Amino acid sequence: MKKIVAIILFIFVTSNVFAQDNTIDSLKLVLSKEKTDTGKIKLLNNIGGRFGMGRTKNDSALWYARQALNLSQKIKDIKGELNARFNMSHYFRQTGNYPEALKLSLYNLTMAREFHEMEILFLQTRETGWIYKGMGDYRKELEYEKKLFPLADSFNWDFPGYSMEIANQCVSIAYSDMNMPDSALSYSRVVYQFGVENNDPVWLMLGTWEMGRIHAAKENPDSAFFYYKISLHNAIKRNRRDLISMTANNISSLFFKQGKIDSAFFYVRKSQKELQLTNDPGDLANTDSLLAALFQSNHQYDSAYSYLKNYLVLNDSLNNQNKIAQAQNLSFNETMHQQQLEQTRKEAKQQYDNELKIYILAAIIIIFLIIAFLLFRNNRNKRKANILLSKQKEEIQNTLSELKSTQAQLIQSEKMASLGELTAGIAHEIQNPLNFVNNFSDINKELINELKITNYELKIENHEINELLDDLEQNSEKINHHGQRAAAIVKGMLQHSRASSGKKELTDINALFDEYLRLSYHGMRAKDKNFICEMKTDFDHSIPKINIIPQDIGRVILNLINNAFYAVNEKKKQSANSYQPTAKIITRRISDTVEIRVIDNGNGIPSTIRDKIFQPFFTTKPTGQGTGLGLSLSYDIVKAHGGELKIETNESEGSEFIILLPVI
Amino acid sequence: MKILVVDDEHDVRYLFEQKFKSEIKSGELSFSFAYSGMEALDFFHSLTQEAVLILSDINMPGMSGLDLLKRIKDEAPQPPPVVMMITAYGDQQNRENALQLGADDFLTKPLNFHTLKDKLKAIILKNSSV
Repeated sequence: MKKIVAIILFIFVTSNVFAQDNTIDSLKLVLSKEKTDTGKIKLLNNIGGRFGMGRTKNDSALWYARQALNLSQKIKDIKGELNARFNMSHYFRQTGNYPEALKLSLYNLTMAREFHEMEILFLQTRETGWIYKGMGDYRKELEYEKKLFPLADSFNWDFPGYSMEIANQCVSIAYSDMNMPDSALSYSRVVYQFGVENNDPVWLMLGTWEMGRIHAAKENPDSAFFYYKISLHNAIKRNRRDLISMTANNISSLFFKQGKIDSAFFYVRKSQKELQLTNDPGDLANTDSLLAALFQSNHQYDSAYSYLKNYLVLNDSLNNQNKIAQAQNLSFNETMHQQQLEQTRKEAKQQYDNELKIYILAAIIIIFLIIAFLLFRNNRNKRKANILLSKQKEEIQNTLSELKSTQAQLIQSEKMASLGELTAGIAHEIQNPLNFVNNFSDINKELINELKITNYELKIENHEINELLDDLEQNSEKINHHGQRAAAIVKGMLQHSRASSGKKELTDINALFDEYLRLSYHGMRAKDKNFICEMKTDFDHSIPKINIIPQDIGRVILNLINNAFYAVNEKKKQSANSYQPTAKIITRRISDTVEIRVIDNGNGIPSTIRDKIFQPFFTTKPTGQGTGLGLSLSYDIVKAHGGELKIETNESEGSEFIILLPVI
Repeated sequence: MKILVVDDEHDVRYLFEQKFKSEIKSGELSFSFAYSGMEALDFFHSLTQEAVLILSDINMPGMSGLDLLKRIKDEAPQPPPVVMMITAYGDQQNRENALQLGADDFLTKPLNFHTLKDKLKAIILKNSSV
């Protein structure tokens, strides 16, 4: 490839065309000895390129290029094929066959782009611009030459900066062709500056030639002459026939414009001389046109006509309408193709963007789904935790209320136990003085009685004395009565406090209740002849004998039944005749527990005093009718048996005392 | 019959003297009083061959009635004196202990003097018959 590049640069860079001819001969010799197809292709392309660039033996250039192309296609050597086609397009442009040149060039551009052959893409782009220049389509020329800039840095050459200067030079030429000298100048100056700074005669030659053209276009003939002469000097020095002919032609035009016909003839003949070797049809046409004008101005009309005719023939050949139409068609197709490519690219980009959006959307949706799942899981866990917490809270609250209840019961039990102990202590202490009170009051009664008898025997009839003795006797009676009351209370207290003397024995609880029910009823009847109460029993005969102290439980039964009878009796006193006093005893076995219910339909117990009924000395009975120790004592006895004594009551509907005793 | 009443309550003397006024006047019964166990024991040892009935409370400070009972039963000449213990109501434990120590009878506070008199008469009758 580097060899090709060197050949291509020849158009700006090479200095000695004749030296190229010698090189071609050497290469031909090498080619005759080369055995590999790849090597042959490289040599064929090299030789063809040198023929083409040297603008000598153009037909040979085409022949070698075709040989290289055929062999490359045969062995599928892409690079070889690209280089061969580049040489062919170059040949066709030089010979004025623009349609063929353009066809090959556009095809090569597509291939080079496809195979990322950036060097050939760069050179073929420049070639395409020049094809459009040859066709006079300077806008397209500029378009292609401007594409060189982004390509200039896409590959490495052994000539640093040359690719960029080629781009600057080509763009400057395109602007000049479009008659935009100011724009051209900005690019041309860069090239000129590069030549000066690097003391590079090639770029100095090329830069000054273009500067001359620009100044000529800007009607600055002095500057134009200045740059053209530098360029011509360097072109002659480096035997650049193409530039010699072009520059000489340009200088001749300037002299012609100034009316210096002889000088104009001198330079145009110089150009003509070089063209005899290069045969560039465009340059030939320009020279013929200038010569026709010069001969015309010298009134040599035959010569003028002859050159004019040559010019017209060449011009017709270059600007053949069919060829132009074909080229334009190709150009149009290329434009369409480019547009299609652009459209395809846009569609591909659009599709890519769409796919990207879809992927992003899918990713976002997946992320959201993951987040949603995590939130859902967290929420579910939280809900579970909350349910668990609620359950635990409920359990804790239940336990707390049970604890509070137990604590209250314990406090109550403690109170009652301490009260019981206190009661026992007090009872013991009171007992002795109370006995004295009772005994001495009793003795007083006897003494008063004795005094009365003595008075009677002594026949002392004093009304006041008798009255006083009666009062004393009555007082002693009262003292004794109330002393007996107090003694009964103390006895109850001591009963409450004393440890049970009985022993546990297996007892039929149904029989025990039945016995004490009758005992209590007859006791009530003994006190109150009018007492009537319906007694009902509902005994569970499956209850086995249970281990209890029968005297103690009997005392409990007696207390409860007595209370029930008292309650119904009180209600009967207050109620109409329709009221039927009823006391009922139900026994049931519930698992390992015996439940005994003593039910009455009396007045019930108000809720305000329900908590106090098991306290010692609490009674609702009138003074003298109850000590308030019965239920307290019963409570203690049941507790001592490992059971429970509870109450369920509805005010004005009756009460239900429940004894729970363990079966074992 | 000589009766020794042992009780830490001093008013017991007045009570017994008034309750048994006629029996004391007739010489049927004579009462001596001791207000502690030790005092009762001293009194008991000072007596000679005379039959004595001891009527003792159990709950006393210092030597209790039960201790006194044990000492009398251990130290008294044969036959031992009749010892009646006075127990508080419901004092079941003391009652059982006294029985084991050889108490002859029990009286429960508050004292029922009619019952006491009947019991004393029965003892007198029994002694006289012997």
